[in-house]
Amino acid sequence: MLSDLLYRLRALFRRNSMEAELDEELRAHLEHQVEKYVQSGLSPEEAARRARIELGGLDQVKEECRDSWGVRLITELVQDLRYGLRQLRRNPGFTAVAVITLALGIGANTAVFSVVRAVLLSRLPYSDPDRLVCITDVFPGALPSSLDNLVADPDYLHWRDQNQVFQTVAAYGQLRGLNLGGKGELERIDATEVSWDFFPMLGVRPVLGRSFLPEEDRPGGPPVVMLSHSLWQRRFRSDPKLVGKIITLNEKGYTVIGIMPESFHFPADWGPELFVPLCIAPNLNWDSPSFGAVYVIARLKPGVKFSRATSDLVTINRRSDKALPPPYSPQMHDKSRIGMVTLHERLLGEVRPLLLILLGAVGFVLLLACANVANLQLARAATREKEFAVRATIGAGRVRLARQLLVESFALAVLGGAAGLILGAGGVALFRHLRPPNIPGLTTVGLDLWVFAFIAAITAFAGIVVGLAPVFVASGLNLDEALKESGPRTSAGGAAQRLRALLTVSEVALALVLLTGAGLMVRSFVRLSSIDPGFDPQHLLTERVMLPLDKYPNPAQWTTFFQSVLERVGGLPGVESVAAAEPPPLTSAYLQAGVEVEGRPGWQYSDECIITPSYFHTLRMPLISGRDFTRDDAGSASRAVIVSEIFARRFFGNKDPVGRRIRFGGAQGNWCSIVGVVRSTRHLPLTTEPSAEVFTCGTFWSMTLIVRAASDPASLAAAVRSKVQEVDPNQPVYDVATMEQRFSNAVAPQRFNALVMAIFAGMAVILAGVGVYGVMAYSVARRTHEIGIRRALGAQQQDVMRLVLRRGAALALVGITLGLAGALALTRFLSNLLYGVTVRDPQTFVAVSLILAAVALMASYIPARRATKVDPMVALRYE
Amino acid sequence: MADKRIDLPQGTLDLLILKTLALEPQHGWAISDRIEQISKDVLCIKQGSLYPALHRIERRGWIKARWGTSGNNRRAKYYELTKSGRKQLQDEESAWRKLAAAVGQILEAAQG
Repeated sequence: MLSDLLYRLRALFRRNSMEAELDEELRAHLEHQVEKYVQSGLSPEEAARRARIELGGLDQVKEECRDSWGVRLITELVQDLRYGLRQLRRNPGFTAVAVITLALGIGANTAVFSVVRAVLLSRLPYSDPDRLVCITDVFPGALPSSLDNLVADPDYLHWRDQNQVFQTVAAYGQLRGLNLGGKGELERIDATEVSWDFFPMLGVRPVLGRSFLPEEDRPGGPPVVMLSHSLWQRRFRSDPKLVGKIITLNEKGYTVIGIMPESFHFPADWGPELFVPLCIAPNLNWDSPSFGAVYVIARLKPGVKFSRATSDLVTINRRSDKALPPPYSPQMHDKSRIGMVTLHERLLGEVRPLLLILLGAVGFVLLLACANVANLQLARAATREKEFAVRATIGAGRVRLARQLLVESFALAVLGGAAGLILGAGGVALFRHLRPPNIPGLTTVGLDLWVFAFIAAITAFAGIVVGLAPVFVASGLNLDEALKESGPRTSAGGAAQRLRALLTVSEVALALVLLTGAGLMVRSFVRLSSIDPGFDPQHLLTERVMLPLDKYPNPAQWTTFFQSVLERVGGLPGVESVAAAEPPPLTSAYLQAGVEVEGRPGWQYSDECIITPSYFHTLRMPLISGRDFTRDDAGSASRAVIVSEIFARRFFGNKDPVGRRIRFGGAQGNWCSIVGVVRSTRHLPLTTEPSAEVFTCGTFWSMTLIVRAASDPASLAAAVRSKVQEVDPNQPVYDVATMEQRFSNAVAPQRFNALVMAIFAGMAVILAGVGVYGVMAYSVARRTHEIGIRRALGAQQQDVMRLVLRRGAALALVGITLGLAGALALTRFLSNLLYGVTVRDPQTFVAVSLILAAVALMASYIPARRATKVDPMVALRYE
Repeated sequence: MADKRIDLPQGTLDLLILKTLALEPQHGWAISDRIEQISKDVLCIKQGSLYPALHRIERRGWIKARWGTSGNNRRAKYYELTKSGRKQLQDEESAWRKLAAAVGQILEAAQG
């Protein structure tokens, strides 16, 4: 086997010496034979003649010997490739257009596939991630879709202690900030509380130190903290002795016990950098005076099915409902449902459809690129009919000719693939630069083996698709015809023309589908951007302050703090008014509260918002009825509330709710009077309708300052920060953004979708336009003679123009019709990504059809004009 | 005039070459000359088909080539059997004998 391989390699790479040896060997044979005959008495001439005849044709013997070397296929392919490359070099214009076209298609696919590979196809970096599930409660009547719901501590504890299906039930808290002090600037760091078994459950060990111990995860446990690798590097210069040292968080000392590995992120790359124990009291229950809420994540026991886990949790919930103390409703949990999805689904469930749609879109772009290059190849094959015919007559078989064409196409595809690789790398960079929101794992996007394999596969695909069309036509070539005819405008026409028309029609159809998708996305974005948020977002600056509860344990301190901050900020030049709120508009973290309306049995969920008196004035939210809060309403004694329009409509119908009473906190709560009704405001995600809101007047430990500026709000940021730090120099201010920036962030996903789809659709429309132009220009060139005759017979310029345009229009019309059918079938996959438009939005469909029709007509118009300039005399003499 | 000699069955040329080389290393012309002498009136072997066969067998590793000098002081390419060539010769020879015997038997039986 090895000697065989060595022999073949020698035949490939030491070709010249093999040939020389072959020559010499055969010469030696002839000499021996001649000598033999001469000895037997023949004349030298006769001897030579007979020796030659007996050996057979020298060239044929040599050719057969070469066959024996076992490298014929390769050497022929190399010949084909050389020949093909020479052909490509001879047509630099064609080659450039074809390579660029393929590079666009392959590049776009490379970029999107790299993202898909990194985000969708890679496993989560935890041990056995398929058994990790996220669990949420479902309340009666609530939509089960919200996976972001927190779980009340008692539920978490019941699940953890009573289940029979999980190895571990762990929990982590909402992202919150801790103020990291000590050396360096005061900085607010994202932090999360986790139960002690959280890291062991994920199967992640710290690179330095250890994880939390059970005894550290309980009220009154020692203050300990674990750091992310990035924070450790950034703030502590990777100090290897940091473990065991004490760092200052919220002005309190915490012992560092562990550093997480560099690869660890949870839940995604934007995860927290500090971890502290959750510290829930082990015997906490519904009758405890207060409790928090957590996210629950669990690891299924091996082999346990989803359905079994769900029913186990539902059973636990029912049991807990039976023992619920007042004021809770005994039907608190849904009787049969629980929210449970795999961690993978939770992280990627929303991203997957978008990425798959993008993958489909670039697939279309690639098809278009291939169709375009195939079209070019066809046009070129037509002009090369003679070349093929000549080669065929001197002995190249049809298979060899077909292989020649395929090799050429492959060469084109490989060039395109190489260029596409570069474009793809650029595309990945662009993708990252656009910062698509909510796509986890983007930092790991890159070109790896998978991506290279993918590029190789689509390059091969492109080579075949691009090569097959001319092969198909060339194999139908009639040699005699091709040789006889004189011009390049001849024969093999029918099949090639039909194929070209088919390709062009498909290009228009593909482009229309993509353009429809992009159109729907763009309209969604426009719709969403023009949403009325319920207030005037201009000239507003927001800055968030979160008071550490260790230092500010009681509400009176919060009030004092925010009162003095508001007074100071209000005195700044350029500030028209200032308020504080929790939560501010356009955030996703709103507080849900159970509300009881007087005279209505049962209790309802409503969003609750704590605001200072100047809130509505600052946001310019008009009161629909009643009055605004006054300074007297602030403070704990106040019982005045203001409700949103939606709240009023939902609970009071058409009646004015002013003067009616509601209460929070069940039977122990105090009744509050509704004093006013305001317009509803939007929260995140913007696509959700405004919910019922109740505004109470007061302060909270965490609030967002909202400043209305006379002019540019961003310029006030530093001044506002300094006023906050006048009150408490250890208070960092964060989430500094103008309200318009927040709004812009809120529509970022739709903007990203629209932009990326528009880029791909733009590429598709250009390619389709080039395709139509190519086929029309070629058809005009072919029909020069015919047009000349028509002109000679009296056809006017506009008749010729009409003749050409009619054909272009026919192609476009068929393409558009097919495209519309395709779009109607495919846009439903977009439904989750759209806002405010239906998947069959008539305006979009009409608009994209008109755009494509215009592009196709423009593309036909240029060749049509050329056709009108045909001089009948010249055209006829052309023969 | 029809040539009454029979064409060599497919693959048999390899066997003849290997057998010829089993005696001593030889160059191409000598191999063809020897085979021709022995089988003169029976087998029709085209000299031209010898060389592709030699190259093919060389590629398979059954023979190896080296350049040497022939009796009349000419440079010639000598082929000699390799170890695996010897083995191959044995296999082919016994296969051939079995085949010939079996065919012969059938012909006999059919006649009887």
